[in-house]
Amino acid sequence: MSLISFPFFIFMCCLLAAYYKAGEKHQWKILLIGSAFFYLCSNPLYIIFIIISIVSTWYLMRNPVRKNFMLTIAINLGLLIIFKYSVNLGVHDLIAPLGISFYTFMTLGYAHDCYDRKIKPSDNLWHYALFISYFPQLTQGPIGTYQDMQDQLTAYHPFDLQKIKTGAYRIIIGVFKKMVIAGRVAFYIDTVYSSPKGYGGLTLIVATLFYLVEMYADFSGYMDIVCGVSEMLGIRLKENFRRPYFSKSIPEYWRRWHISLNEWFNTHLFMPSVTTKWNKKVANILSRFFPKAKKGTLRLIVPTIIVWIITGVWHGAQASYLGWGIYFAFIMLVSFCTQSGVKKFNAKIHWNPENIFVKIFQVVRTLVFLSFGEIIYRSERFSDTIAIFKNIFTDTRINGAEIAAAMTPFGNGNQAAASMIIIVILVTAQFIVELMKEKDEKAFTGHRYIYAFAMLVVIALFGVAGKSNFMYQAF
Amino acid sequence: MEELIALLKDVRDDVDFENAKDLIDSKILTSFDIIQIISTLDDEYDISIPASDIVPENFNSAEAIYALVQKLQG
Repeated sequence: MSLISFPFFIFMCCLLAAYYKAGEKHQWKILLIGSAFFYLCSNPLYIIFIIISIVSTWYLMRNPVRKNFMLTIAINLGLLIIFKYSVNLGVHDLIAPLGISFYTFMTLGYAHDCYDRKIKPSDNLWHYALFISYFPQLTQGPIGTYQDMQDQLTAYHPFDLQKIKTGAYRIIIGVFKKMVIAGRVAFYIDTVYSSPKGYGGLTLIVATLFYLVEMYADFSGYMDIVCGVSEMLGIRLKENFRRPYFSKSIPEYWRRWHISLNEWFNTHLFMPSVTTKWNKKVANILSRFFPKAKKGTLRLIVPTIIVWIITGVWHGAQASYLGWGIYFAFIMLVSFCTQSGVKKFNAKIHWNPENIFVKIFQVVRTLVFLSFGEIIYRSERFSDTIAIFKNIFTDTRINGAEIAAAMTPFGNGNQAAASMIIIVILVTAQFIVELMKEKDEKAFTGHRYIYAFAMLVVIALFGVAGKSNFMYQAF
Repeated sequence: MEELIALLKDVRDDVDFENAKDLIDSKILTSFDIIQIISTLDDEYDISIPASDIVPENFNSAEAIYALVQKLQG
């Protein structure tokens, strides 16, 4: 069931009515029934796999000893690998169960926290089942932690009109980002990236910049919708984006993009690897080759490579995703290793980090490095990646016919030009809103209902109804 | 304690480790700094700080870091 669909609207109306009608003791049960219904509507047979994961993890982690922890990892990772990489294993008609990448991470995070004695294992199977299957975060995250979610999910939430309004506002923003911005720019990107070799540098640069816009509008738009839906139920989900394109460095960008996934990797993979004995040994060996480097910096090298390769492969077992992971591992390592040197150099040349031009330079530099990574990620073939980089740097001609050809999905002639103008206006409007929020988190609250109404009109006029699949649903 | 402050100053000489009580909560130390501190403590005090001990409470002040070192040495 797509979140932007009439059946989902009916589902939400029924759920909200039942949820707020239910008494204190039964409210969370309505959520569990609603979540099961949502899953059955999307993927009826495959509900068995999420049930296997829920029951086995809950049962094993009741006694969080090493053997049970390892068994939990084996069962959950095993299922994830089988379904996610079945194509690579030679099985072509296996569909992955809905949300498996996301609920597996939540399950493993829960198991690890139980094993580390950071949390008390759940003593109620049904409460635990609701934590894993809670429908707004099931399909694409955010990857909730048991600590954040459990009390909220089982507490009683009386009806609050303000929360319904705030939720509805978030949903409208999300639908606008997805259907108007992401849906429109997607056509151009798909056309150019499906056969990039013939296009000139400028067209490829525009398509790549549009891709940054599409990714943000699609994924953060989805998050706005799920946060809005959850807000209506009185449950606050973790924010997954904090205006990432205003980041001044790539490490900062990864603290502001897909926050819940990156925090998961940091807590459950990166930090544990940094502190292991073998990593300490590796750092000692490396210090023989780099005697001037700080030991702490050397201890970052192997964990960074591991985390980024796994993040890449988590998106799928394709060379482009692996290349993307290796690229960001490299950028992160360069950033870590040069951090103290750059700081000293900046002090020497009296480079003031608070200066607006310095900030703009840093933001643009981050976007350039990010774009290079996304070219690797988005290319369908390795030869395409090479061709795109080559054309961007060598083919600087401006080809009117080429631009017109890429815009044909928008219509012909004036119609296509008008669509482009509308996109630019909409992206600029959204950019201004986000810039205001970057300066002051609460800056935009006063005008938001007028903005929401304007967006509703725009969605009605320009929304792309045909393309309502979200990019991250594939993962 | 003085020895510990000197080690911490080696990692970040611009931070007031003697008085600060909110090194993590106020985002004075970054995760990069924490890893430098962990690595220094591991080597200097011959301890091994497990990932489960890397929580804000243990790194918010020099006293908290000192208490963590003592706990792991004991």
